[in-house]
Amino acid sequence: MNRILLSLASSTYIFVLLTAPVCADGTGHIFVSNEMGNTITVIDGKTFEVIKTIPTGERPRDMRWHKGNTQLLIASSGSDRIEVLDIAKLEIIDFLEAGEDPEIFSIDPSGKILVAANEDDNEVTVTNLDTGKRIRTIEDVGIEPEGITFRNDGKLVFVTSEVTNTIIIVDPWSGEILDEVLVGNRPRRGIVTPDDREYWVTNELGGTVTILDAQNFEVLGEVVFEKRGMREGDINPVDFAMTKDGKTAYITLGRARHVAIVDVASREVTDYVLAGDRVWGAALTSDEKFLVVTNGASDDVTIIDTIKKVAVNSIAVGRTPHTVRIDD
Amino acid sequence: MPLFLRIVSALLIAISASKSSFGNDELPITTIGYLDLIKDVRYEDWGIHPVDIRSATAIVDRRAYAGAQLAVEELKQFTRIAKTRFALQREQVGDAAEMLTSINLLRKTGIQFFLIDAPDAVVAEVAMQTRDQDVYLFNTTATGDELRNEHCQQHLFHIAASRSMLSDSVAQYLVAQKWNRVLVLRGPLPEDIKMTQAFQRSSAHFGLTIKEIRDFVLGNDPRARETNDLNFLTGNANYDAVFISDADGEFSLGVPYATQKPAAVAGASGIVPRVWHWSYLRHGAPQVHGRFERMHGRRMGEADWGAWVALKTIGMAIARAKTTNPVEVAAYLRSDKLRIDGSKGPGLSIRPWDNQLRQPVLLTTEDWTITRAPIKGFKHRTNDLDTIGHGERDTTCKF
Repeated sequence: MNRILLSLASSTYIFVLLTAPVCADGTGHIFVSNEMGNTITVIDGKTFEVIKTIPTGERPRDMRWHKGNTQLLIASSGSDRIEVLDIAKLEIIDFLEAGEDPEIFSIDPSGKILVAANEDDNEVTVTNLDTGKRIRTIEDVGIEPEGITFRNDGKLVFVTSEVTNTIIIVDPWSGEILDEVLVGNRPRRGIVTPDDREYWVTNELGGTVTILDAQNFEVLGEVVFEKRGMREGDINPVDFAMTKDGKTAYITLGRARHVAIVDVASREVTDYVLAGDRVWGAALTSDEKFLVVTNGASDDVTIIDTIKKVAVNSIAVGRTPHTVRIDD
Repeated sequence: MPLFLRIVSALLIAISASKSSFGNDELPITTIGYLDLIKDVRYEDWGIHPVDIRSATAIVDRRAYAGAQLAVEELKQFTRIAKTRFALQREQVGDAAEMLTSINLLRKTGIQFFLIDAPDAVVAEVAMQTRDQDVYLFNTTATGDELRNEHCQQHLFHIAASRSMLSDSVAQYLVAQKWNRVLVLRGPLPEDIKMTQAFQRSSAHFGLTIKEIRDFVLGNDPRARETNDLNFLTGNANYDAVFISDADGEFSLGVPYATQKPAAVAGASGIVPRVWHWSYLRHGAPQVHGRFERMHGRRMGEADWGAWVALKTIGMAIARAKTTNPVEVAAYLRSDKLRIDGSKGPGLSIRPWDNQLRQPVLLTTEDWTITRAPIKGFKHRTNDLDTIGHGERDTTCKF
């Protein structure tokens, strides 16, 4: 697909909704934010060579695609802003407001607003993506809010509060807090199944994943990780990737140095794949043949072959890689 | 905006705020007692100096109450889930007898959970005298091993690490570094004798060799130079490390880099085992440091962490056990379901055999955290955190 066409058409809501998840003709680049390196590492998706290191503001963490993959938004936590990376130029071209110390953020499916967690201020900031300006700040979202996940219908976000061990359900359009649910210990990140039925959240300290009904917020179940040689305290699930059919989830397990492959329907772990130390961020290639994960404590990323279920490559990046996104 | 309109809008904000908090204002209040001593030697400045030379920065008040204040502020965010609000009632008293009187008075107002920030002897006395009452005590700073062993009580929970946990942490590190031969320098205080005993136990357990135990005194008397001069104290012996027991703390400040052999110093100075240090930057600790420093304008210390975690533990147990009934909350605390996030890595829980909070110990210099015990490689059959401190097999506690 032609990139100019794509950027032209992406302004319409329907186009983004239909094509963004399947735009298969990107640059193939893998983008990794290096939290302590203050850079983005760009890796060629075919040769796995580092092709560019882009300086950013301080402490780059979460990243999200915007405008049909023509822009990558980067939370530059230490610089209190979201940076806009132009994918064609591989340069930072703009900044957006997102409150102080934005960490994890999410964009609503229509591309109108961005919702970011401000961990230190115990707030969530809502930003108008057209103007780049803050619309509102939502307080009362627990302590150390982190994970921000839109339901696919765009009506609400699930906010994880690491210290209160809860999920706070927020209407970002009105700022109203709708509900709060107690989950496992130190909830970090979430993902909503493509059918909008379930919200999964990792409990970093509890070593589990809690599953909520994404419509009525009841607790439906739990995913438990058990592997010979892994101690409870070493299993720190953090981030997700999920296949587009919603059947398979990949969950990074932190200090356990493994990625769990989970059958979404049965909530059972089918496999564990070895990765690097403190494996955190995860992203699938669009053909879903490869999973790329960031290893925060070994300063590299691991490429996992999802068919053979084995790590096939690892690439040194910057200091403390946080999030990975793939443009393909 | 005209004044009356501003009042109306302020009222509306107040109403909408309470709406978004699910009517928290009508929830019952759980008040937790906070007891400490008017005069506690552990918080005294050194009188002979114009400033407290033990600290890098001037400090006005190091009391653990600051940590409790942070926790109560944070517990406001637990109200929706815990279905209760939390409050703190502090009483500063002269001694153990006055503390008991305070507990009895506060008990009559409905308070059943108490945080105690006091030395070993006071905690032991108060716990013994209240053992038949329906109150629950949380020891936030006393490190005595006797409190966890022969003086243990079922209603007394230990948030502070024990001396054995601290000395085991140092011993593991010395073993890992292959600094196996240790010279021990022992101060004159009863706490120094006990810390030395704890280190002897740790050395036997982890395979260190104590080459000699030498007693020191703080002073300059040339006739007593064998006990006050570091050249004599650290000379004429073969060792890889020096362990120093010095609860007072002044003598030990001068020991690192001043030994006759080029040896690591650990214990009261050098490599210091601490339950918390401002230089720990993993596991959400920076966020806790930030919240504490914004509230109090100083670094968060070990005592602050103890009070903070004690209140968090009570709050989270109430939320998870879905009750404010102290008997049920205490049962939940002792259950294997409890996991508390102390912002130092693994989930913390209570050892059922002595009510001690399982936790990692940080091995720190004055301005950096070197590592965290249990040290990598020290394994326990169920929980690696139980490689430090008294385990189920060697406890002498009988509830």
